Amino acid sequence: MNSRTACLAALCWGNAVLAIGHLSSQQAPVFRSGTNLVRLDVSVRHSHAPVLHLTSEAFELRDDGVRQAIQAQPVDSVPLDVSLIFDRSHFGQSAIGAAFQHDLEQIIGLMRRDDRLQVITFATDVREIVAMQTPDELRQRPDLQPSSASASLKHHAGLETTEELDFLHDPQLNRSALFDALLFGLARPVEIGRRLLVIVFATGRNSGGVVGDAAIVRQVAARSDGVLYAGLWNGRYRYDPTAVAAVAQATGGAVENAADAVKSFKSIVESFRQSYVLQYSATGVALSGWHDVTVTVPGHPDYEIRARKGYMGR
Amino acid sequence: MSRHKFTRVAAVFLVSVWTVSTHSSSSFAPDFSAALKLYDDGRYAEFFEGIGPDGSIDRHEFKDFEAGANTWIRTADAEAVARRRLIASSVALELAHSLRHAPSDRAGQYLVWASRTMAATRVTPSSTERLWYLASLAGMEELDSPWPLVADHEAGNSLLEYERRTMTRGGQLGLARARFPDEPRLLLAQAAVAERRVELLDLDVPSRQDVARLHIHDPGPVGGAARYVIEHVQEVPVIISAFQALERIPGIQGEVHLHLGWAEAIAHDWTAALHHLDLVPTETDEAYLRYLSRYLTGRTLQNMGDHAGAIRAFESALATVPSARSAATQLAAEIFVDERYEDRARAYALLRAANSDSAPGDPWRLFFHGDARLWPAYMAQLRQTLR
Repeated sequence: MNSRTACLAALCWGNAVLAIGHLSSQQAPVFRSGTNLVRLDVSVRHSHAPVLHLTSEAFELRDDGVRQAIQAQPVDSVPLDVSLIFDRSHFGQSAIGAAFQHDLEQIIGLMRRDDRLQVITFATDVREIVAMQTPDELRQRPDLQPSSASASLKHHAGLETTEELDFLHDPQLNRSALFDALLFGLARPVEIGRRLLVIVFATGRNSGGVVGDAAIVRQVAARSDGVLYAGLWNGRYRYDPTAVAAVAQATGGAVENAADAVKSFKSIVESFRQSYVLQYSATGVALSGWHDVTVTVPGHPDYEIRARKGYMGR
Repeated sequence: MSRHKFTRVAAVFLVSVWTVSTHSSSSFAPDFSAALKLYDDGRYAEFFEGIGPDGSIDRHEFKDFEAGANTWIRTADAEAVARRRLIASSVALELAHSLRHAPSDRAGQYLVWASRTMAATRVTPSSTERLWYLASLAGMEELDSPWPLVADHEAGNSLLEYERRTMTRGGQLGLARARFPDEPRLLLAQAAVAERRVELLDLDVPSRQDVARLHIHDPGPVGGAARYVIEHVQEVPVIISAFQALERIPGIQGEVHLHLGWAEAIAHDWTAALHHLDLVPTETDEAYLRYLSRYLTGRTLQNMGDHAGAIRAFESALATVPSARSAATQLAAEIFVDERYEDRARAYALLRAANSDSAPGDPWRLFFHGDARLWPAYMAQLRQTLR
């Protein structure tokens, strides 16, 4: 088996183990800003359409089986911190490339004034190429223009002419540290009064990063304060949603096909804004240890509800 | 090597921002005789100025170099041929080094030319030649896939397959060992070649092996992965034996115990692994080795389920090489998994620092690249000797 085949075999193996399902299920902590204050992002859909205007009374939330008094607030009213992660690797074959500036302008245009955006790229290395900033702050950065971008930004954002890049053999591009990048995005602490949405555009394949075991990323995801959505596309290889889907589900997020990054970004952000933040002070349950959380909308068993399955109490 | 020196050297090695223009060229082309003369005269500053920044050498310049260097050697007096071979081969190493971040075939053609040129040497082995062989191996190990040239491993679809076929059988390590059979670093390199066969295995492999047995007959990719795991896990005891045989050789014990400990960890022999990894800091002052001993201890403890111990080990590694990506990433993951809520902001700050351009080269990335980290030291000595 040559090195490339071996590499692919290892990749397949990681996903195969995941698919076999022998790994223990990972569950999630929830955003907390105090010893017992729990916040949970909840998406409610019916026939693929969001269900809007639900009140607190419409939800039933049980924490370790004990019903809690909750307050429901539309996410739409909360400013977002968005960590946008792009696959720059051989596997993704330049997700952004020369279109980076155009795509970034479009994406900034989809954000609200009090939202913030961070951009991370990954291939062999992971780089935060744009720190978390508001749209106005980003528009004032001349270094995001191709003509004045730094060498580092040009490289990590793929602003070079892609014909010059040999993705398969360039040691800076021929690995895909997807799990390292996800860990970076999901580890971000969430400020009070804001929500963290992590969006990754990738093929779903991981190779050559520090973290090789999807189970570790799922454990981190389950304890993260953010929600992960993944837009996957076919790069050099057909996209593989197995590992990323499990990570996204651990956060209450999801995976979708994404042929167009800007359209997919718009769709994901709009969908996230149409969800709810359920907040409660956990009562009648132990504070420490794992808490199973279930959310329902009584009277509407046909509603599809997406949320974390629990949290780790302190 | 001090922490800062290591950081600087590793940064030069690994954290290059690849801004190579494939259409620039050195100021020597098309006539490299000036470069060879400068190097022969020990005028290294002028030589490096002529080469230009890393990656400046055009893809097409090799033919000029090859023709010029062959002529320069051929036209020397009989007693000067051996020195000219050594000088020209050293220049080729320098040119290859400047291309180390480019696709491997570009540096590879200079390295293969140097190897073939030195292989023609018939003089008695000397300390300068020994230094040259060590430097040449380190130069090859800088490449993304070093083993086709170092050890004649089939390169598959690597860019180095053509170059490998033009090398002497056994690769550069075979040539070097034929000239210097007792050199400790070459013995260490030979053991590392065996280790290379399992570099894709990790600590969870034995548990995967159990699953692999269930799927070994699957005709699809799952079966292929299962067969890969089964095949390579069986090689771990051979690797352990190879490093055990070197334990008593002075000067390389820190490295031997580092690799031995990691192989034992892959075999899930936790006690032996932790023991040998603990020996490393008592046997060497080199920051690279001390970092890896702590990092691999952390990985071992992590896999044993000792998260608190793993966190301490990763923190200790970062005290040796601050902001190194491997330990920072694993530490951040452990802080989450071990429910250290109060440390989350610190974990995120670590990740930001480790994933920035100012981060040092990651020693973990060098672990499977043999003596690549020693290239600057070897070449500095070689230049001094040749002057």
